[in-house]
Amino acid sequence: MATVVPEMSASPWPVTAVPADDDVVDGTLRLVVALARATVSGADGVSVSLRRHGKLSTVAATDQTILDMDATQYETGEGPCIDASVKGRWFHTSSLVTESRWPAFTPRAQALGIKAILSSPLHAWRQPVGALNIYARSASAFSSDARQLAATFAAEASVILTDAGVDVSDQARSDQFQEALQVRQTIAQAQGVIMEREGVAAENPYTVLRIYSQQSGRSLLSRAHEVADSSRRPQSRLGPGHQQDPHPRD
Amino acid sequence: MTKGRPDILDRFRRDADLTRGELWLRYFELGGMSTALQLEAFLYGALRPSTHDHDVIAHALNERFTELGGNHPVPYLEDGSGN
Repeated sequence: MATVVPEMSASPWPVTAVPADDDVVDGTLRLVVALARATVSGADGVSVSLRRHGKLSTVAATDQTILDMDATQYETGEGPCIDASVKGRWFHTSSLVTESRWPAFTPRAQALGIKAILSSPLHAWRQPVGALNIYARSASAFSSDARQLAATFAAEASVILTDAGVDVSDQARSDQFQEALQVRQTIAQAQGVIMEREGVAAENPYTVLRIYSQQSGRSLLSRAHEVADSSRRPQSRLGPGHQQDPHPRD
Repeated sequence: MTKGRPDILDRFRRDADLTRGELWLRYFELGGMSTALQLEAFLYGALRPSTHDHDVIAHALNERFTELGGNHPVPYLEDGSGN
């Protein structure tokens, strides 16, 4: 059940917490909603949608109309809140009059008096888990500054959600860990190549690889791929000081 | 030995907008061997990371700063010269 929070006139800033359970998370998100309503220029209503047990629901909203807006999106299965929550990027519609992306949702939103919507994704462990939704009764209500402020609130809320481990499925965690293991394996292979070719001590290949990364301005994984790949090519050479890069990526 | 105050890594972590869990995953990706709990202890200053661990954490943070459009503000302890 969502909780309607009162409007605030103050503009405190920013919100950071390390919550431990749903009650604390929900309370903190209600504060985020109130702060966003009070400080994001053009906002007439704000909500936070969160996926729990595989289903999106509204954790906090500033008023009943906003609750209805969210509920309409859940019912129709479309809208900026849904897209931001699933695709993990922000969705902005400056005027629903000309909006064509959500044909089932848009007329119902207009009927509730909403003209513009800005939905920013919320993440936990880099996975989209919900959205911070800001609604306006005026078209073109959100300036670039307002959008930036909304993104900041969403980022702060994402920190809270990540620390609380909010509803990231076991499969998502497993996928993320498998990806990390693959990265780690590539880096280990590259270190082995460096040890063999450059004769450096066992503790130093990481430093060599890291310095390659720093000097080339590429990620350590990118450089590790190049080094590991070079071991499969005859007469390949290592390091940024060499004239020929065996596997240029820039 | 860790240069400066032990909690400087945690200050950089906050500046990088990473949770401790996210930082541990990035540290692990880069070959870090310590557990998430040990990493937290490093960040709180309750345990002192080895030079290697410090530099892996520093690089995980620096790659994040690069993603955010910055440079590499977190200093390393090992400069590659063997010192």
